[in-house]
Amino acid sequence: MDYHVELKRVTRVFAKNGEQIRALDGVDLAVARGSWTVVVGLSGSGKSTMLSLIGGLDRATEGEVWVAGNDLGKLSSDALADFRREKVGFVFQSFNLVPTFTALENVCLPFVPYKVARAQAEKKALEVLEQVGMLARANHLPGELSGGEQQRVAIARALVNDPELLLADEPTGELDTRTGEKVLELLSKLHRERGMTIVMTSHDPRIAEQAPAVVRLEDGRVVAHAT
Amino acid sequence: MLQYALKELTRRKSRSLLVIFGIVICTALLASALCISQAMRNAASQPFQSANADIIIQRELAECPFALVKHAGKLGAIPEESIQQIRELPGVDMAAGVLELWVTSGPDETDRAVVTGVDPDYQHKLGPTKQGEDCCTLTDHEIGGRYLYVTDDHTCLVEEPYAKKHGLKLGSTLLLGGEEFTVVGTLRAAEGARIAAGEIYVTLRDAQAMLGEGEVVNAVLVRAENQKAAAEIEKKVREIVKVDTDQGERLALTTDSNVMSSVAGVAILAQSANRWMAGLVVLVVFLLVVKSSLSSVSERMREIGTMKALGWRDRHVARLLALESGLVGLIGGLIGTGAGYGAALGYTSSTTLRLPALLNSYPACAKTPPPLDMQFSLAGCGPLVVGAFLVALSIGVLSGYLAARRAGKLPPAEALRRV
Repeated sequence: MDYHVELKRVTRVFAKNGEQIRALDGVDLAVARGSWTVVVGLSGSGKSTMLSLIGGLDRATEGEVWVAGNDLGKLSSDALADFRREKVGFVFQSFNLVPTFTALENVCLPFVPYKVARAQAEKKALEVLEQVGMLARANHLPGELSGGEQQRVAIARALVNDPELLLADEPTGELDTRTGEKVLELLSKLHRERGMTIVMTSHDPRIAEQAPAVVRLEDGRVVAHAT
Repeated sequence: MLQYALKELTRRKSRSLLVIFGIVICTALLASALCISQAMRNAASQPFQSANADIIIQRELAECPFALVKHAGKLGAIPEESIQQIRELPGVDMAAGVLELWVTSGPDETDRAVVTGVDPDYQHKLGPTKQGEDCCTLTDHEIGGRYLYVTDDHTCLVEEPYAKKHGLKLGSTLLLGGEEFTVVGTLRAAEGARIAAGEIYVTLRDAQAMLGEGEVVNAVLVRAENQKAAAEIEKKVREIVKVDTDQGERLALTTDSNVMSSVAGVAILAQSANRWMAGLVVLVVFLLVVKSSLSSVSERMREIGTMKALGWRDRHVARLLALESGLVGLIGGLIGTGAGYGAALGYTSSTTLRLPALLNSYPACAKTPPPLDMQFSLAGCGPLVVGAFLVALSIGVLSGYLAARRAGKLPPAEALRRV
């Protein structure tokens, strides 16, 4: 089986006020390439920590995190940044758009520090904005967009580098039910069209019901993995 | 990235303006303090450069009553033989004596002129008639005007304003202390204070004859080989030129470094306080800018985390923050140095410093204005302004660096989690 993501006995411990908190505790997980996995669990169960480890935003205290053949624990800080840029797209619960940038400029953000010609970056950004149905709003500031539209822009930003893995942390968490459904439909469409692997977290049981694969976390441990 | 940095500065307009304002104030203070210091140094050194001298030696006495011919102001006689002893001191490049007199001129004894006796051997290179653009040029050279000769008897050079006032020209005669002198040249002097300048110049011999005190001078101008030598010469001169302190006499040794304290004591104090204050303000502003930059990092955790999640390397984030602070320093520095230079210009053009009267004693009834106004000049201020600008830029860059280091080290997951 070609696993895109593999977690092997992964533990992540945080120190807080002199206390050791095990956000993840010996987690094993394998995610197939091109699959859509939803990680569910209560708040504080370790969902976001797991996503951070898979996306190379954080390092495991123990165990190994393998993504697309890379042992993330062995990558340098720069190599991890390159890994995120080339292979991973992130979608956040609260969109995390730069308020003074237009939708187009926000989508171009991953290109800013690299020597990508502006015209080329904008062409690519407009393409993905079109894919998420936001082309007409390309020159609007985030403040002029609805929550659903902002999340679409954030999804476009996550896709602009053509990642093979999309990590979405509660992408519908700040949206009303109807808007949330539309965002999920969009993600579903992109999943079909691009064939990329999606791992998303949610505490919404309805999302878990529709998901092809579900991982349930409790107190940092995987208690169920259904496909 | 520059566009990003500029937008970020615009987004946090109040903070950016406050930081820029702080940098403007500190840079302006620094630039103005440095430039005013420089202008004062220039003002103090200008009369010495004009005379090509480093040290002026004079005996200061209580002023004596007016006579047909008398020592100018409070000056006292110094034996001419002292000059030769001074010339023989190590480190002395050259030394010349002048005899500055107040003399009745014309048939009316109430007309008085400042007559300076100069040594014809040194008149071109040292003292109040020194030839050159920073001091004196002959206006009638083309029609036969000349400097004084050693062999001259009862000849004189007149300064241009005096010549114009009295209608004197080449070949004219005038009465000095009851004796007739012939004009052999007209001198045009550069603007600014001049040491031992007179309205009329005669040979030292003629001046001594007019005064009738023998071979004496009342000011010795010394050119030292270098600054270090000047300090040594000052010490030795005190052994050569004796004064009777019991009679209230004083040996006045004036150099460009001590002339300022006598003419601008308060100004120097203010200037010194200004420099200290500028230094203190630089420190305070630096700390404020650092604090502001670090706060900016704390407030932008989500943004920094997002940038890193999107593939920005640590150094890219650091570069962005450094660029933002650098821009703040650049803008503040440019405005601040401009304001500081303007303040220095305003101060120097509205302040007048005058050479101590001992260095150039004109009687109250002088017919021409005494050349006592010291010329403020901002020459040499350019590098200081650039220095102040670099300080402002450094404040920006250094605070940016500290903020950038903090942001760079921030693990992306932690940055996103802290929101």
